[in-house]
Amino acid sequence: MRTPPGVSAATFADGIAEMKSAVGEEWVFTSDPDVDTYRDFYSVLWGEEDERIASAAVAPKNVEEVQAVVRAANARGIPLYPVSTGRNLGYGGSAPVYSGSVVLDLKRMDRIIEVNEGNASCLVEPGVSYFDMYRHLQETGSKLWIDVPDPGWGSMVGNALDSGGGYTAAPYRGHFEAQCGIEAVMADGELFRTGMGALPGSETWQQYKMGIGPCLDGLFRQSTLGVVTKMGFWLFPQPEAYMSCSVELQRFEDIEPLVDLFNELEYGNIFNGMPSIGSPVLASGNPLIFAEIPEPEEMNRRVRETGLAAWRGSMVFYGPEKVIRAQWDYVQERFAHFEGVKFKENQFVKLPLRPEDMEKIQKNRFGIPSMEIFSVGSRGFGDFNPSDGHIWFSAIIPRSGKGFVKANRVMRQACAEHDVPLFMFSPAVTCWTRSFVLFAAVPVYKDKEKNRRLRESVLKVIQICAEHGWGEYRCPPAFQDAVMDAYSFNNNMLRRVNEKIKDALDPNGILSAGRYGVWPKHLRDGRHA
Amino acid sequence: MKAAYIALGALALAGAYALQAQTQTAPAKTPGMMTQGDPTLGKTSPQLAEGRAVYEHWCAPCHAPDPKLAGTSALRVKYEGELPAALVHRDDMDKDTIAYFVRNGVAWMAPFRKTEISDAQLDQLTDFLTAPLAQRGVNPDDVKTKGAGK
Repeated sequence: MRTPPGVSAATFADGIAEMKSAVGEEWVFTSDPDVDTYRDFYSVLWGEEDERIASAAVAPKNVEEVQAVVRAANARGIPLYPVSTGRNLGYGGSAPVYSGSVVLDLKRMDRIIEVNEGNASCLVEPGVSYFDMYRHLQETGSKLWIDVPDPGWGSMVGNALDSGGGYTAAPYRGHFEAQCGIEAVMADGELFRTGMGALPGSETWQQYKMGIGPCLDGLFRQSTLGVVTKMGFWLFPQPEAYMSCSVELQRFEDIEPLVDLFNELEYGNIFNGMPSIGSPVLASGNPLIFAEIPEPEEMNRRVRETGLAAWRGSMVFYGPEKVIRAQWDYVQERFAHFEGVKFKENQFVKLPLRPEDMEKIQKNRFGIPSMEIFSVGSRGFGDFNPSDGHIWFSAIIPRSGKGFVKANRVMRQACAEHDVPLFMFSPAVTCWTRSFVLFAAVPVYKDKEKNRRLRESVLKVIQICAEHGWGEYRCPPAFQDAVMDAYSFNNNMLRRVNEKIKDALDPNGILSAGRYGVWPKHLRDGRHA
Repeated sequence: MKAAYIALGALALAGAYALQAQTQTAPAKTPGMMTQGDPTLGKTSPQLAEGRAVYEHWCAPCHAPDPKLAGTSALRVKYEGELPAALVHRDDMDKDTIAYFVRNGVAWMAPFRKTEISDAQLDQLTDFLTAPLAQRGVNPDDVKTKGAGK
C-alpha cells in the first residue's frame, strides 16, 4: 500500500481502517490496480517520478460517510483529494495535485434530490453526470434543459466547481455562475450550506444565491476548502424555437465593429444564444484550428481574390418564433451599413425536438449530452495522428476586435516558436459573455521526453500570455502553480489571501493540497520564498 | 495483436443511478432522444439483460454502430474492414481482453473505476459482449452495414 508523505505507515493504516468502517470495506481501494484507475490518463508527467499519484481512494455513499472520512483524515493529517466523477480529462482527471493524497471519489453520491419545474432549478449530488440528469428529465417529461459541456459523462457539480462552460443561453453557459446553493463538508467535518440553505426551513435555497452577508459560494470554486456534497442549479425552460444565423463581413477592419456590435446585441438581450466568430477566407483543412490572422492588406487581398468573407459572426436565438425572427430582423438592420454584408439563416428548429432532428442538430446547443467531442481525437478532422490524450490551455482575453486579433497572433506565434502542437485552437470562445476565452487543445503522448519538452513550452506560453495581461482560468495540475504565480498583483496578494483563508478553514491542510496553486502551510514553506 | 485492441476515443458515461434507471424503469417518454443506448439492438436474451444495460450505459455512447462515434470511427480506421468497427458486432474478443481495456484504458479512453463499473457489472458486460451475436440482439445485416469495416 502506498503511503502519503509525512504520514507514518501505522497512522495511515489506522486512518484507512477507520475509513473502511465508515464506508464499507469494498469502497476503500488500496491495491495498485484499483488506485491506478485514478491516475490522470492524460498527464504530462505520465510515468515520471513527479506524476501525481494517489495513495488510495475512498468512495462514500452519503454526506454522513463523507464527514466520517474527512474526520478520520483530519485527525491524522491524511491528505484528501475530492473528485466528483473524476472525468475532468485535459485538466487533471481524477488524480490529486499532491501525490500521496487519498482520492475521495464521490461518484456513488448520485442522487438527483430535486427538480423544481416551477422554479426551473435542481439540487444534485456530485456523482450526478450530465447524462444522468438528461435521462431523468427525459424520463419525467420535464420541460427543462440542462446546459452541457462537451463530454456528457462529467459531473454537474464537478464541472461547475472547476468553472466549466457550455453552449446554450447566456445565463446557463457559465456553470458555476448558474449554480444556486452549495452544501459542503469542511475540513473539520462540519456541514456548511451557502445562501438561503443556511436558514432552516427556507424554501428558497435554489432561488436566491446570496443569503446574508458575504457570499461564500466562491470559496468552493477551484478550491481547497471543502468537499461539496450538494449543489443547486438554475435550468433553462425549453424555448419554443431555436435559430442560428450569421453575418458575413468583407474587410479585415470590420472585426472591431463586429465584436462591439455583437457585444451590444448580446448584452442588450437581442440574441441570447452563444455567439462565435470565424473567418471563411482563413478557413483551412482543419475547421478546429483558427489560422493566424494576417496583416490587413494581405487578408483583404485574399478576400478580393477568393470572394470569401473576412469574418463570419454567428449567433443563436432561443425563444418564440415570432420574437426571434423579429430579433434577427433587428440584427440585420444594425449590420446593414457594412459594405458587402451578407446575412444567412443557418438553421431554424421548432421545439421540442423530434427524434428525426437529432441527426441534424449540434446537440450541445440543445442541452443534450453526448461523447461526440471525442471523435476529434480519433481522426475526426484532418490527418491527425491519434494521441494518448490532450491538455487544454485556456486563457481569458479581452472581448474586443483588437484583443481577438492580437491574442490570435501572439498565441499562434508562441506555439510555433516553442513547438507546441495544436489540434484545436479558437481565440474567441464565448461560454462567458463579457470576455473571450482563448482555447487551445494540445495533444499529449505517454512519452517522457515529449512531455518534458511540452511542459517547458507550456510554461513559456503561460509567461508570454501573462506579459500581455492574459491569465488562464483553468489548467492541468502540472501548471497550476505557474498560472497562480502569474496573478501577481501586489506581490501575489491573491495567493496570499487564499493561503490565509486556507490556514483558517483547514489548519491541518488536509483538503486538495496544491489545487490551483494554494498549498497548506506545512507544504508551503520555501515554495514561494 | 489487432484483436487485443478494443478502442480509441472514449467509452463513456455516468453512474449507478442512471444504470439502475435503465435496467429497472420504463424507457424515456421520447424514444430516439437519448445519446446513451444502442438503438440498433433487437431483443436480447434475458440472461444478458444486465450486461446489455452496462454496455448501453457506458460503452455505446462511443462504441455503438454509428460511424460518427469516437470509438467506432477510430476502430474503423484501425481495422480497415478486417474486423467490425462497432464493439457489439465483434465476435473475436474474450472476457479478459475486454476487462483489460475497461480497467486500463487505451489512447483517449481512460480506465473505468469500480465506482463506475463494478466487478460484477464488468462480468455481466463481458458476458454480453462475448455471447453469440443473436443472443445479444444484433441484426446480422447490421454487422455489414452499420459502422462496420470500410
